[in-house]
Amino acid sequence: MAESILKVKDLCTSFNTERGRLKAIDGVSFEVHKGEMLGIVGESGCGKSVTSQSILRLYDEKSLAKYTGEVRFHDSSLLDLPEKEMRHVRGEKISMIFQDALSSLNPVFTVGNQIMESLLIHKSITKKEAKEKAIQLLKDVGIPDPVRRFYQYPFELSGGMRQRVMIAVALACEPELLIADEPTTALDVTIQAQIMDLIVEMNKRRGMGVMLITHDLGVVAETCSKVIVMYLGQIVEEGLVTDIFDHPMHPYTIGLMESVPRLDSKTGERLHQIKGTVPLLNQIPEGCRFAPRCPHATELCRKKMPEFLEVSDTQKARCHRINEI
Amino acid sequence: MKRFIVKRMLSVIPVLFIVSIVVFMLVHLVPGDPAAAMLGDMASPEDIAALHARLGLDRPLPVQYGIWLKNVLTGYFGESVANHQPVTGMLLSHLEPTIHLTLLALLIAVMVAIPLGMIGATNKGTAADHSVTVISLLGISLPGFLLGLFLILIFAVKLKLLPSSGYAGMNAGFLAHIKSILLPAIALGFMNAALMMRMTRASMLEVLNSDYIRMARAKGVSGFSVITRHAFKNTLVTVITVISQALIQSLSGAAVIESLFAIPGLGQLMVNSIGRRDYYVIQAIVLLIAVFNVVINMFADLLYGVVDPRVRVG
Repeated sequence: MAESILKVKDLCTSFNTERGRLKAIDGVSFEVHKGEMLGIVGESGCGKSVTSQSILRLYDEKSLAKYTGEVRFHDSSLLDLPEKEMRHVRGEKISMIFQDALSSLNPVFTVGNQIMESLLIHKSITKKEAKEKAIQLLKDVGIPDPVRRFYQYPFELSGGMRQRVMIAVALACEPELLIADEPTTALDVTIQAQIMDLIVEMNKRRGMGVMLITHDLGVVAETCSKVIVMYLGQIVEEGLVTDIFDHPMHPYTIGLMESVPRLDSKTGERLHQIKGTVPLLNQIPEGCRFAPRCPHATELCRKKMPEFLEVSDTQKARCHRINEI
Repeated sequence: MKRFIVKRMLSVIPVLFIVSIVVFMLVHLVPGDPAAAMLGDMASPEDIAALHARLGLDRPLPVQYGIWLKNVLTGYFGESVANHQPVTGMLLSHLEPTIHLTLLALLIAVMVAIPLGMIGATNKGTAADHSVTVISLLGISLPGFLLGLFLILIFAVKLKLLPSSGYAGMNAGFLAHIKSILLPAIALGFMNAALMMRMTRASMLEVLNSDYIRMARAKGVSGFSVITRHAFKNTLVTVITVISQALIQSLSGAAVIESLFAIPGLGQLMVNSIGRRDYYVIQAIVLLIAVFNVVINMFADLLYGVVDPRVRVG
C-alpha cells in the first residue's frame, strides 16, 4: 500500500448558531494515500463539504467554528498549526476545487491573475515565470488559446472552461492532495465527463491523492478506489469501491444504490427512494442516526448508537443488524 | 473599454437636454406672469410690459429657449433681478465655499466610514462591530444642524479652538481657511459617513460570505490580503455609489449647514434668492446642481467600469 498522506481521526466540527452549538460532523476518521482516489458520498447536508473544509480549516474560528480531533498531513497536525503556517498548506500542499466555478472565481480579476496568485504566494518565482507557468497550466487543463484566455475574466468563459480554470488554480503548486467538492455538479453531462477525465488524468500523472466529494454514485464507481458513505455527520460505511457497489451493508448505502436509475429496470417501475429527509442538526435522533428513516430499524436501533464495525478486511459499517439484513 | 467610455459619455447628452428644458420651464411654470411675480404687487402694467420686453418674455417659448440655451452655453445666465449683477459672477463667488466645504466633508466621511465599515464587517458580532452600528445609527438619526450646534458649543464656545461661524477664503491662508470650514464639514460629513459606513459594512459582509473569498482562502491567501485585495475590489462598486450620492447630497443639501455657520455658499445664495424671488439666480443654481448631478453620476458609472469588468460589456 502506498504511503498515507492524510490521516483524519475523530474529527468533529461544530458551529455556533442561533440555536446553540451544533455538531455538523461527529467523529469522522479516514485516511488518504498517495495517488489514491477516495470518494465521499451522501445526501446534501450530511457533512461531506464540512469535512473537506474542516481539513483546510476554512471556517472562521474566531466566532463560528470549532474543530476537535486530529487531522494529520504527513507529520504535521493541521488543527494545531498556527494560521501563518496553515496558509502554506492551503493551495500548496492541499488544494481544493469547489462546485460552482462562476461564483468561486473572483469576478473582478482576470483568469491569469487568479492562477498566478497562488504561484506567487507559495513559490519564490518572478511574475514573468508565474505568467509562463499559468499559461502552461491553462494548456494542461485543456483550454484552447491559453494566451488569450489568460487575459480574460471569468464571466467571459463557458461553465466547463471556468471549471478547468479552477482546476488550473488548484494544480498550480502541484499539491499532494486535491479535495474536489462536487466538481461536476454545476456542469452538463458531456462536460462532466471531460472534467472527471481531467481530474483522473492529473491523479494518475502526478500521483496526487484525490478526495472526491459527490452525490453522483456513477462517477465514484468509475473513478475511485475507496468510498466513504456519510450520513448526518458520521461515516456509516466505508470500503473498496467493489465492496460498496457489489455488497453494500448499511441500509443507507443500500438505499442510495437502489435510488440510482438503471437502464435495465422495467418500464413503468418506480425509482426507489429513501423515505423522509435528512434531519436538521438540532434534531439528531438518539441511537442510530438513520433509524427514523430505516426500513429495518428495531427498538435497539432507536436507543443505542451502533459501533463502526469491520465487516471484512476492507469494509466497515455502522449498523446493529449487519448480519441480518 | 474605449467604447464603454464613449457610449456612457454620449448618453449624458439627452439627459442634459431634458434637464435644460425643465430648468428653463421653471421660470414659466410659476403661477401667473413671471415678470409680475418678480416686480411684486405694486408694479404697474407698463413696468411689467417693459420687463417683458427686456427679458424677451414676449417672444414665443421655443425662441426664448433657443436664446436662453445659447446664453447658458456661453456662460451667461442673465442678470439678477434684485441687484442687477450678472448671475454668473454671483455663482462663481459662491461656488468656492460650497465646493471646498463639500470636498472636505466628503474626505472626512470617506476616511471615517470606509475603514470603520470594513472593521465592522470583518469583526461581525463583536463589540467593535456593535460600536460601528451604533455610531452609524447615531449619524443617521442626528440632524446635521443639531450636530452643528453641538460642535459650535464644544469647539467654539467652550474650547475656543475653532471659529463658530463665518468663512475665510483661501487668500486668508490655508490654515485659517480649513479652520473656518472644519466644523461645518464635520457636521455635513458625519451624516454621510453614517450611510457610507452602513453600506460598506453590508456590502463587505456579503462579499466575505461569497464563494470566491472561500476559494481565495483555500489558495492560501493571507487574511489581510483577502480583505484588502479580493474583498475590497468587489465592494468598491457599492462604495463608489455611496460616495457619489454623498457628494451630490452635500452639494445640494449644504444650505442648512451653510446658513447655520454663515458660510456664503451656493446654498445660502439659493435661500436668499428664493426670498427675493430672484428667478434667474434660482434657475442658474438649479441648473448647476442638476449638471453636477449628471456629471457625478457619469463619473461613478465610468468608475464602475474600471472596477468591474462585467460593467464594461453591458
